[in-house]
Amino acid sequence: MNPDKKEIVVALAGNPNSGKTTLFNNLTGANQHVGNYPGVTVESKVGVAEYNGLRFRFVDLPGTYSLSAYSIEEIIARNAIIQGKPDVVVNIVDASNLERNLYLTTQIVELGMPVIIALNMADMAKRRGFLIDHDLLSHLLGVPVIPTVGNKRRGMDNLLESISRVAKGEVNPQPSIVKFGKEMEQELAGLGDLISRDPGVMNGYKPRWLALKLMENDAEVAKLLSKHPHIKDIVNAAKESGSKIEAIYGEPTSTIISDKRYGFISGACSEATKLTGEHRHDISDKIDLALIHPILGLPIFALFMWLLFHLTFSLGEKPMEWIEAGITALANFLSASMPEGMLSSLLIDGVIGGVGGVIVFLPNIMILFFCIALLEDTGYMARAAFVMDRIMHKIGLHGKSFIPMLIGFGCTVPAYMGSRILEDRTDRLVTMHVSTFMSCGARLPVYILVGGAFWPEHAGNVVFSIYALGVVAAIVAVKFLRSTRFKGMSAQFIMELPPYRVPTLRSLLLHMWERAWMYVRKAGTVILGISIIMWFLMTFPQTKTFSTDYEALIEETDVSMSEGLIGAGERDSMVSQYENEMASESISRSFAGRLGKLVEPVLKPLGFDWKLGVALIAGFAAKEVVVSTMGNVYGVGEADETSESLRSKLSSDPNYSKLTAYAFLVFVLLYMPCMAALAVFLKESKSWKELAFQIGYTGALAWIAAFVIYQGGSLLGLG
Amino acid sequence: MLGARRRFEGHAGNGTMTLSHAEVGRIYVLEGLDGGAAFREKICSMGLNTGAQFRIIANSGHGPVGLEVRQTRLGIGRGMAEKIRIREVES
Amino acid sequence: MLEYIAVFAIVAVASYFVGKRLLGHLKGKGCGNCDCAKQSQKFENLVQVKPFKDEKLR
Repeated sequence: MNPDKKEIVVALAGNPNSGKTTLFNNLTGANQHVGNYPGVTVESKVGVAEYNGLRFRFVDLPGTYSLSAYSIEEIIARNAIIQGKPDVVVNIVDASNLERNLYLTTQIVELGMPVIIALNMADMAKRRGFLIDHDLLSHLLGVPVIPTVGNKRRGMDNLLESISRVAKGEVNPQPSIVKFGKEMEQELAGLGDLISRDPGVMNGYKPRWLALKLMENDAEVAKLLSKHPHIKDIVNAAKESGSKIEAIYGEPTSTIISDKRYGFISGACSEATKLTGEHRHDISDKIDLALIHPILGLPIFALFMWLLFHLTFSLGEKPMEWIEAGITALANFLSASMPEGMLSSLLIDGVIGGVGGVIVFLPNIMILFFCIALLEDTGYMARAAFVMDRIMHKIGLHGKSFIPMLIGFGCTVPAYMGSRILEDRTDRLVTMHVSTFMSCGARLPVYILVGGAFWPEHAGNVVFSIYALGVVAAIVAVKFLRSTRFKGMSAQFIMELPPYRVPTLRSLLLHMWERAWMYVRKAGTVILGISIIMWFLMTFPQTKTFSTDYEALIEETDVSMSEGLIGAGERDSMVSQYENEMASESISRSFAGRLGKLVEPVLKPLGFDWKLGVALIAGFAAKEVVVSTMGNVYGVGEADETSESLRSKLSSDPNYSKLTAYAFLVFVLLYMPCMAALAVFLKESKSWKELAFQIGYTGALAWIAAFVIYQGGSLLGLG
Repeated sequence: MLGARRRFEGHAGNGTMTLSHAEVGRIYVLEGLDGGAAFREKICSMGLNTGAQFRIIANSGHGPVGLEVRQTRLGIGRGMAEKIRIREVES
Repeated sequence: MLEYIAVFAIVAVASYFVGKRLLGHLKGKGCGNCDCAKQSQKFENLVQVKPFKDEKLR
């Protein structure tokens, strides 16, 4: 490397779960840029760091287990190294999982760039009973091995030191390359010669590597070499070599290759690793025994989910009250300092009513995502996926369908995209059709609002029941759709169950903060805009004459009070009531109100009124807007002396009972997703017919379910 | 697939069986991978190659098979488990 | 009078921005709220499912 070069470019490669991302974050801190590799959905991360007067540019490659051409991540990682030509490749290796991690290592060194191994999680390995002699390992592998503990930030300086030495050429590692046996090596040499006859095409690729890939039938390399003048000869030679090897060993060439890799790895590992007396497997084992237990697995998962919702409510209660108080104070301040009129109404009822209604739930959202991050970082989520697939299989839904569905709990859009993993179109469509029942994050504020309003003590249980109902609905829907159009497919996936880790507070808070910020941003942009528009639609056309002469009625109460017929308290509440009725009528005559009234007949059998109707329609734009719209409805023109929260206003509305509320929750759960999701649905399905079906059947299902709940409940006397 | 649930049958005469029929707690060795090249590379790259020994930690006849190989724990979907040939190892 | 203008101006601006945003949603790019690509990638990393075409045994 040119010592005058400004920047040292370092590529970070390694298995998923090896701690690569943590290391990347340690080295680059906030100086990161996240983007996408052109044309694909794979994330690209680049960051810079400074050390000892030198500048480093780190590229975090996608985590991979191999460098074959069978997945887009592997191709990207591979190309980034070969074409990107980093000065150094740092291979992050999970020490507690050494052998498997080195499988990738053997492939990386074949590419020819300088490699350094960061032996990460060395502390974990020690705890599990492995002592790795990293000097010996370094000697055996031929590359520097730097022990690191990513989540405690240990070893970073040593790593940077080693990187600069290698980059500057002060250290020149000679990696040990895996040899594939005499016969194989002969074939590789021959093929290599054939390829190097035209050095122009090679472009930095090592001939031996190209030969190896050809013998593995690597499609990307075949594509790459298609311009080679001797390509026909090369392809034939590769085929011949392949047949020769297979004849000798009786196995496909690729099998021989991987066997030799592991052979080499086993040898190196058994020399460099000492097992200390105790295998601390036991604790991890026992935990797994319970978590993926055939009978206990599901109840435990349900318990964790229930706890999640319970915590979201109980811990979030106080902060929610503070925010509510703050918002009310702001509203009161504005109403006091501004002359009453349209502008103040827009600001107070429109903006504060709408956005405030949504912002209030920020603490709950934060707690929820903190808990989810906790479950992910400890490694539990993998066990949850394991258990869920088993349940799906047991009820006859084998297939990878549930996987995209699980993503749906965050947002329906990636769930739709994720269904691409299903090759069969019918499978894909069925999966997409039910993804919406996995309540996305945006529906949560609605659940919290209504749940918290009508069941103050048991809100956690109520919300949990809604999510559970969603899963049940998805299962029922898949079974139904399958019986009419599906052909089942066995589950084709393989996943790692990572060892249990104590997550760092830092990473948990980082995840939580990311999601919280997204929520606030959405509230301050789209929801703000929609609240303003909603305010407009609810205020105009203005009502000049009311059905009842409220003004006169209010005057009468004043008179009654001055005559001593009623007390001040009674007078206030009567006036409040009249003013609320005025406001309600006012809104009902507005654009929005008229729309609500239009759909009211359809919603009446469900116990809903035009106000809920408007909120539901608005939910088409984004599910949180259901909340902000309710905030608008109860804000516009109402009496603000009482300064109640939206929750209490909802629960004290005479039109709504607990039965209505639950029916409403179920409706929101089941009815169609927001327009952003529907647009992606169309894109992914490429069928207007399917889109229409999605809209139609979710709406119908929502209506029927709410109907059954409301009418059935009323009959049972629950209403 | 749908319908028939065969529990721990499927032992061939020479003791070869598929991973889907493996019993919890026992140790097996991988004999072969009956799938295409992409399938084989994926399984291999995650630690399971021919000749590798592993221990079963979960298999209820439904859903994925959980096993431990080379200090790693893996969950393998039932569809894949049916394409993985194994043989029991006397421990 | 001024009040009316101010209010209408605000509503107009809001409508413009919201309209632009929602139009973007309709074009199928997702909503920029949850980073769709990253979510599905994170999950595909967790459960290694790839649409590999399973050829016959070689």
